[in-house]
Amino acid sequence: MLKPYQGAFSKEEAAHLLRRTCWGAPLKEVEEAVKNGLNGTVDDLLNFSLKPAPHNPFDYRDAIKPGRGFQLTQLNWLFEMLHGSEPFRENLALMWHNHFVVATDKVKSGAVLTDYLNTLRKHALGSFTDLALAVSKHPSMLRYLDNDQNVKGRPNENFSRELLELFTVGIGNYTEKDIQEGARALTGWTIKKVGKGTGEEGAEFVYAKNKHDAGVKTYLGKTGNFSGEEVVQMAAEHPAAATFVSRKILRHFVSDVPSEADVKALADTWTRTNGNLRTVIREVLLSEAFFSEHARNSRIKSPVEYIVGTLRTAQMKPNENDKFYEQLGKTLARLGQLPLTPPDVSGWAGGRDWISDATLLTRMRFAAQISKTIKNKKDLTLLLLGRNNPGIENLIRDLPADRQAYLLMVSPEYQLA
Amino acid sequence: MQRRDFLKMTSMALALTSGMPQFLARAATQAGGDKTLVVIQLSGGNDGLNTLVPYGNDAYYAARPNIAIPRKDVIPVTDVLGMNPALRPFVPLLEDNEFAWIENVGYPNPNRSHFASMAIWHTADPTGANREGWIGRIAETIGDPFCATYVGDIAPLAVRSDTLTLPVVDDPDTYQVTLPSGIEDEYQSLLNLKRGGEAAFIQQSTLNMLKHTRETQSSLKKYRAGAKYPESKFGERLKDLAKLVASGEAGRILYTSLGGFDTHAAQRAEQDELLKMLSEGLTAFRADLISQGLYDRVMVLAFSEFGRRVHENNSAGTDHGKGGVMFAFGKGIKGGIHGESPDLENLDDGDVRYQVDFRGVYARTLKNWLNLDPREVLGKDFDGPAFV
Repeated sequence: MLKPYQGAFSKEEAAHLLRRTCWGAPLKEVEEAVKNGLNGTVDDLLNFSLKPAPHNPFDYRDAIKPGRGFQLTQLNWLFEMLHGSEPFRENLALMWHNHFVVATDKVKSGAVLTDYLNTLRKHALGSFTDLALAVSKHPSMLRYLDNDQNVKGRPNENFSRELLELFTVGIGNYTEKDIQEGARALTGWTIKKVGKGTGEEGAEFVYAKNKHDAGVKTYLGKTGNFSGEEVVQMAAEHPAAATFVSRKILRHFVSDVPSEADVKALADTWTRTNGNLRTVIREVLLSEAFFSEHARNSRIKSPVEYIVGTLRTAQMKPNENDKFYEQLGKTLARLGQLPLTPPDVSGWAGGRDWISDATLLTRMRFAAQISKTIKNKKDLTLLLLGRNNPGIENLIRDLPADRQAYLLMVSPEYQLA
Repeated sequence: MQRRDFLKMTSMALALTSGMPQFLARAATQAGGDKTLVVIQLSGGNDGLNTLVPYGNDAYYAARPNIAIPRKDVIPVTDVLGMNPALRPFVPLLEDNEFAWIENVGYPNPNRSHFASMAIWHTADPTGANREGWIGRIAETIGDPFCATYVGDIAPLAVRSDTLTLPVVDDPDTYQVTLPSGIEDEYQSLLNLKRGGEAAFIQQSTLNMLKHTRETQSSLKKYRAGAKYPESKFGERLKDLAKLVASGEAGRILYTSLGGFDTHAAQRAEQDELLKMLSEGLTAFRADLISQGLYDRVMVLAFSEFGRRVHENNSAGTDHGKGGVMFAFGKGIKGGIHGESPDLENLDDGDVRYQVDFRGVYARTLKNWLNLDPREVLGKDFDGPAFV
């Protein structure tokens, strides 16, 4: 178990918590969190509703041309992140999207991708095995990693490999033979198209019994007549998955380089609770590790954190102009993190990968555009940096609010989460 | 003081002062040279057997009843090996003897994971112990963070080092800094504050970026495209590469990538399209460099993290394999096929066995093209085929 945090919960800690969980928050929400206390705030965060943001102008069903549907889904998600009432839910969905990766290069259906995101939201704090099963059988994943074409005889190994390597146990905990046997067990899992036959159509899971290899397989040390479900379950419940996925959760919320002791402590909780994600993630948010100096200095902001966090902190109102969101999507793409378009099946590696000449320049351009709208100097450093910083405050004190905001937003400190 | 701390400090000092310190000027002279290496990364595991096709081998056709390239379509290079027809634009380069194929390239204990295998190519270390890229190490060895540029958005591990940030350009035209007016002094002071942790890393990256954008912008104006590039993201990237070579600010190594080679299903359509994009783009790049009078100093080297399984799967695709092919071209290249036709009778768990260690290819390139000591970058001696 991770050591619980015992220190004070003042504006600095509240701002840090809201930055890491909700990408950022205006001063009013920081002050409310302080009043509510650490436990109360975390419990509120964990008890999110599944209701979508009202008046979201982007809906895949409005696509006229095929191929536009998935773009509308991307923009719908971006709008939800920016204006929805449940940013923490969206942050969790982003974390799981970056774990159980699917991408628009192969899944081009708005209906299927929307349903994939809803699956992630629904299972985000449930049992890891349920989440793994739901995603593995989801049409988006079946298509993305070719399991829809995995049939008895000469199986397609793509999904079987990534299930072990990237989604559950990690390299070093399986053999090539496990991949081949797993692929056999997963034969027959495929999809059926539903809908009007347009490019925006949906799809659903189908089990093609005549294409399933019902023979005996040996998988992760056990032998049996395994089904696809059993193989996913065995991988998700393997002891190595506890460590592998705990490390990812710590990387998402705490540090680009989590300590081995923290990984082990969280994996113990995972094992004790059979991968109960609510318990595991709650423990992270209440831990000393989460509020430590190490955590505060060692995590580089992802592009979504930079863009969405800035706009949530600045309390941007929903924009009438759809082009505004299209433009934000383009900026995210230039920064390397357009949602639903990760570079490959391992997702975004994050950390120092986010920093290059090209991305620093794009961040500076975005800062120039957004800082113009900032008029209020009060607690600006605390809000943007998540803590006070006398060194920087001394330098910028005499400047107007917009210039202060610009310099804060291009500072090395603001590139940290 | 540790060498690394020293380098870190000097690259910051470099950005803050206009004159280059003496010792760095010396390092830069050593690093100099008029040769440019262009590395093309084919991400996803390009199928070597459908790229350089063993059309003289019946075992190839037996293993791939649906996706083999028919004999009549192959562009013959030798009696047994020939190119995928999508690579037709490369024919004149082969005829001019400046295009080399390197067969059966790999490394010991091959790993079929995209990510583990790509990391091995990037670090030149099959044990996975080294966390720095081979080009990042070149930058450290010669003490010059500006010796290599990645063109694209996210730089691969190959061009990363523990201490230096190498330039990454996603679009040369917007590769410049414009601050809102009236805050130049505050911005400079902000970047001079003392920092630790990841903030110090970002601070140093920003200072390097400021220097590099300034220098690149002042030399970019020279370039006028001398060829028509295919209309694709990859075509754009290659044009950007040519622009940077022409500006003289590219450093000695340029690196970019083309993805999509993970062809588990419907391989023919997908891979052929990519190979077409690749060959059309690279021949336009070559034509452009020729018109700029720069072609003689450029060598192009392409690789992928692994080849694919010899037998096709049931989805008209191939799963992850081991040995693969590389290619290189340029005036300094000894054209033709280096290495033997893959042995399809003697497979390694269904895969082509590698015969050439890719580190030998790197070593040759470092020594014979970039005039650098391969041992310093690769840690020990390797030798590869005499393609350069």
